[in-house]
Amino acid sequence: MVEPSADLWQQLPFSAAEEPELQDEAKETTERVKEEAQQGPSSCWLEHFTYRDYQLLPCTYVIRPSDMMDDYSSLDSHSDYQGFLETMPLNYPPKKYQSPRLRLTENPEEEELVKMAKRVGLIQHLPTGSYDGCRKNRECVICMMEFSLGEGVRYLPCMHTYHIECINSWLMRSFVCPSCLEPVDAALLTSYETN
Amino acid sequence: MSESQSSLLLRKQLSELNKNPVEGFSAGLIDDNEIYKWEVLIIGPPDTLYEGGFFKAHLHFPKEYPLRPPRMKFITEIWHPNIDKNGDVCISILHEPGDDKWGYEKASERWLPVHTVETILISVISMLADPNDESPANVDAAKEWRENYPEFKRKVARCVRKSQEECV
Ligand SMILES: [Zn+2]
Ligand SMILES: [Zn+2]
Repeated sequence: MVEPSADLWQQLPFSAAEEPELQDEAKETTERVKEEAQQGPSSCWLEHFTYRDYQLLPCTYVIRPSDMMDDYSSLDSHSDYQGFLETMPLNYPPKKYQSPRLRLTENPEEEELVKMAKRVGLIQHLPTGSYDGCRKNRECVICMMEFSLGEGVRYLPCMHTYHIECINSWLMRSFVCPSCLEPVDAALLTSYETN
Repeated sequence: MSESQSSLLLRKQLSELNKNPVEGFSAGLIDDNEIYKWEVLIIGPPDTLYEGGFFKAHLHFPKEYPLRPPRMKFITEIWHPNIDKNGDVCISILHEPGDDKWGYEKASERWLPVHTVETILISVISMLADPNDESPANVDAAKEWRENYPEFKRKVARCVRKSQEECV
């Protein structure tokens, strides 16, 4: 995963639709998404996408990953999580840099793939951390294994915690928390709107 | 979910069910070397038309379990609105997960990775007691259940008797 630097943001043309040469690149990206998707969504899928890919794909909103906190191990309550979401710069980049909803295809199958690529982007923005021995969340209910100290975990907005791989694969299929059924994107969007 | 993870999870459930059997059904593998294929015996729930019956069913788990649901098929003949004439069980918790098709309001009714053999069977047993005629898999049984209950009862009673004979 390419970490975007501040100037990369300035350089990247966000309005791909306005620049013809970028449309080709966007098409290539869609092709690649399609190929990858044929092998099925998996957690390793996430790493195959570069930041540029993410920018080129139609996204309704953009958040700069480098603005996210690196260490979420201190997050252990819902209010902390809300606080964390509030620190995310939602209005960044400025509106003129936000990518337009670029319709790459009318084909429903490809639409689905584009949706999946967007999903990948959303999943990447859910915080991760390493298991700190917290007694409240001992076990990943997807694989039913107890967490071991230091193991990589991902937190959902409802504060339910899972192994990164386990929850990534699930969220590619259904965007709800397996424990409490809270829709993940609705929760994310609500947090943004209340900001 | 890798194959080893799904088989590990199923092995764990098998040994748990062997250690602490759950009332209402028994479960095991069809073939000891094949962890993805289970055979269960459901005891017709008391105070229902199925009381006294012994219904054998197979569960086929995909390698992606628990991200995807198993398929469940009754081997013993059974007459029920939500079980088709081939024995395939059609209940929402065994529907593939997805966002658009069923809508969020129904997320709780669809497949979730937290489901185990035990929770699936508990749902199936409650389905026996309480059919859902909104999306019947056996349209004739659903129609009878609504419009000609005595005939429905008679057909179920015949299945119960047959299941007892097969079980001996
Ligand atoms: Zn897990
Ligand atoms: Zn939750």
